[in-house]
Amino acid sequence: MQGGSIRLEGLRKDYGRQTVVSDVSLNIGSGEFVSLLGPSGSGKTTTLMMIAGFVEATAGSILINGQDVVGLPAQHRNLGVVFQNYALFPHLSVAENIAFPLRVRKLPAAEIAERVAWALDVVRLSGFEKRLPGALSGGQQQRVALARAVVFHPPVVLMDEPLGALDKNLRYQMQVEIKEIQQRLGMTVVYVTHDQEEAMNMSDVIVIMNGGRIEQLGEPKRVYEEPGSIFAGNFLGEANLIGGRLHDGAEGMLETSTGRRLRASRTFSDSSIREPAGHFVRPEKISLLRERNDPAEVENVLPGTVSRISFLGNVVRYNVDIGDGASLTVDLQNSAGQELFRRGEAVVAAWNAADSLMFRHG
Amino acid sequence: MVDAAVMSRGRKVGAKRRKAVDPGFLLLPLLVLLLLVFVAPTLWFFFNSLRETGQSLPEVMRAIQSVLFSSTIRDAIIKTNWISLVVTLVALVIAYPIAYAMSRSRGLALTLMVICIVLPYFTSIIVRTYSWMVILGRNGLVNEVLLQLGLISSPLQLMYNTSGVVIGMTYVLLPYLVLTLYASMKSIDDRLLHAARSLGASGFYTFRRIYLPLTLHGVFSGCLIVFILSIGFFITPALMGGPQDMMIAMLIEREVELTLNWPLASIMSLFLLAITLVLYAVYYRFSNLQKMMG
Repeated sequence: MQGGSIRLEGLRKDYGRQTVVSDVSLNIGSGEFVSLLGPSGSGKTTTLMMIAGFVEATAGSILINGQDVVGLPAQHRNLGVVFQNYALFPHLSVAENIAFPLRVRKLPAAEIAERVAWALDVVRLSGFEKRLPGALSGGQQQRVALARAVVFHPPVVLMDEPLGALDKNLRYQMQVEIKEIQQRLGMTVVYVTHDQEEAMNMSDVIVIMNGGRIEQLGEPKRVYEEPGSIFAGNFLGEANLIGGRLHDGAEGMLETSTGRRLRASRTFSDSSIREPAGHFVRPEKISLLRERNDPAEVENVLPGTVSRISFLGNVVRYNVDIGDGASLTVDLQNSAGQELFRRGEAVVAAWNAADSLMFRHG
Repeated sequence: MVDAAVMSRGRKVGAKRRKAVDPGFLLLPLLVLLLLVFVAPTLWFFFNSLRETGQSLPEVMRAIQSVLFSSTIRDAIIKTNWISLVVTLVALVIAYPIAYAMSRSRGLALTLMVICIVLPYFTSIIVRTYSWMVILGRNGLVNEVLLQLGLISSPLQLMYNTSGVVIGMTYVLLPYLVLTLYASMKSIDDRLLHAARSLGASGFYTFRRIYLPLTLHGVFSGCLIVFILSIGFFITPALMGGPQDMMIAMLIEREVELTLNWPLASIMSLFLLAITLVLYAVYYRFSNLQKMMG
C-alpha cells in the first residue's frame, strides 16, 4: 500500500457572502501525516470536506496524485474517510461495515473475505466480525471505522476529529495506534483536530488554521518552538507574552514597562499585538531561582513574587507577579528531591534568548 | 395480624421513600375512565349477546363457528383484509417520498409540508369524505378535467366501488404513515450517507443498502398502524364504497341497526377486536425490538 499525494491550490469556500476558507494551498507528500489544527470556525473541517467531496469548492483546485478532483462526486474520489462519530452503519455487522467499500467495487467474495480479515487484523479486532456496531465500545467502533477506511487501499485517508468522543487515556492510546498503522501501511493521512497535543503527537506536518486561512505550517517541534504568529504560539500550548517597547540597542531587544531588558533570538511581525512589541517565551523554558543575584549566563532575568501555585502532577505551574500588573507562567518539572516554592516567595525568573521570540507590531 | 404487620411495614418503607413516589398513579384517572366506558361495556355487551346464542359453552362455540364460517362473513373478512392491504401499500408508496422530502427540508418549506399533512386531521372525517365525493363523482372535478382534456369519452366510475374506498381511506390514513416515516428518516445521521458515498457507493446503492434498511422499522410500524386502522374503518367505505365493498365494520353496523341481530354483531366485533389486538401485539413487539437494537 502506497500513499498518494495531495496538492491544494488556492482553495476557497464561500457561503453566500461569508468566506469560510480562503486561499488554502498545501502540498502533502506520499505517506505524510498532516494535521489541520485550529479552533472551531477556522475552516479546517470545511477544507477536509472539500477534499472528501462533500462540500463543493468555490475556487481553487484539489489534486490527488496529480489529478484534479474538483467537480468529481465523493463516491468517485476513492478516499477513505473516518468521521468524528464513526458513522458506522448500525444495521450491518462489523465485517459487513468493513466489506461495504469492497462490495460497492464488486470484488469477488473470496477477496472480500481476505481483505476484511486483513483490515480487522490491522486494527486488532479479529473475532469481532459478527458484532453489531452498537455492541462495541467507542474505541472499538473507532477501529472499525479505521478498518473500513483503509480496506480498499485508498491513496489518502481523511480523518475528521476521529478521537473527539473518546476519553483522554483512550485517546492517547488510539493516537499511538493510528500513527503506528499509518507508518506501517505508508498511508497518507489528512487529520483534522482542535487538540494540539494530538496534532503534535501524530503529525509529520502541522497546519495551523485561523479564520479560514493557513496561519502557519511545519513540523510540530518547529511550529511549537518558532511560531510565526502570536495566534500560532498560543494555540500550540501555554505561552507568555510580555509587552513592552522596542529597544534600539540591539536586534530582538525589548524594554518592559518596569525598565527591564529582554532579548530574543528572532523577531516576527504580528498585527494582532496591542503594544509596540511582545516578548514570547514558553513556561517550561523558564527556570526559577531563589538567589537575588542575577545569574550571568542567561540573557533574560526578571525578579518577581510567586502569586499562585498549581500542582498538576508531573508539572508544577507557578504564576509569578513581575510588577506593573503583569505576570509570568512558569512550568517546573516535579523532579525528585525538589523543594517547591511557596506562595509570596521572592524569586528570579531566568531564560535564554535562544528560547524566546519577539513579535513587533506591524 | 399478618396483614396489619405487612401494612405497617409498607407504610414505614413508604414514609422513608416519600420523595420517590411512583408517578404511575397519575394514570389512574385514565385507567378508571377506560374501564368504565370501554372495557366494562364491551365485556357486558359480549357476555349478554353471547348468552343469547346458547346455554352452554359448546353451544356458544358452535354459534361462533357457524358465524365465522358463513360465506357473508368470510367474504367481508377477505374484502376487509384485501382493502386494508391495498390501502396500506398505496399509502406507503405515496407517503415514502413525501416523508423523505420532509426529512430533507427545513424552515418554511418544512412547516408548510407539516401543515398540509396535519391540518386535515383537524377536519371532520365526514367532511373530508364528502369532499372526495365531490371530487370523484360522475360530474366531479377529476372526470370534468379528464373529459375536457379529451382523455376519456364518458365519465369514469371512481366512486361506489373499491377504488373509491381505497382512494378515500388512503387519503385519511396517509398522515399516520407520513409522520411515522418522517420520524424514522429524521433519525438517520446524514454522516452515514456521507460515509457510504465516500466509500464509493452510488446514490441508489446507498439507498438500497443503507437508507432503506434504516427506515424499515418506520415502514413496518407505519404500515401496521395504517392496517390496524383500516380493518376497523367504517365511514369512508360506507359512503364511498359500493354494495360489494362490505367491510366488517359495515356488516357489524348492519346487524346492530337493521337486522337487530346483536349476537351476530357481537361475535363479529369480538373477531375484529381479536385481529386488532394480535396486530397491535406484533406492532408492540416490533417497536420494542427496535428500541433494544438502538
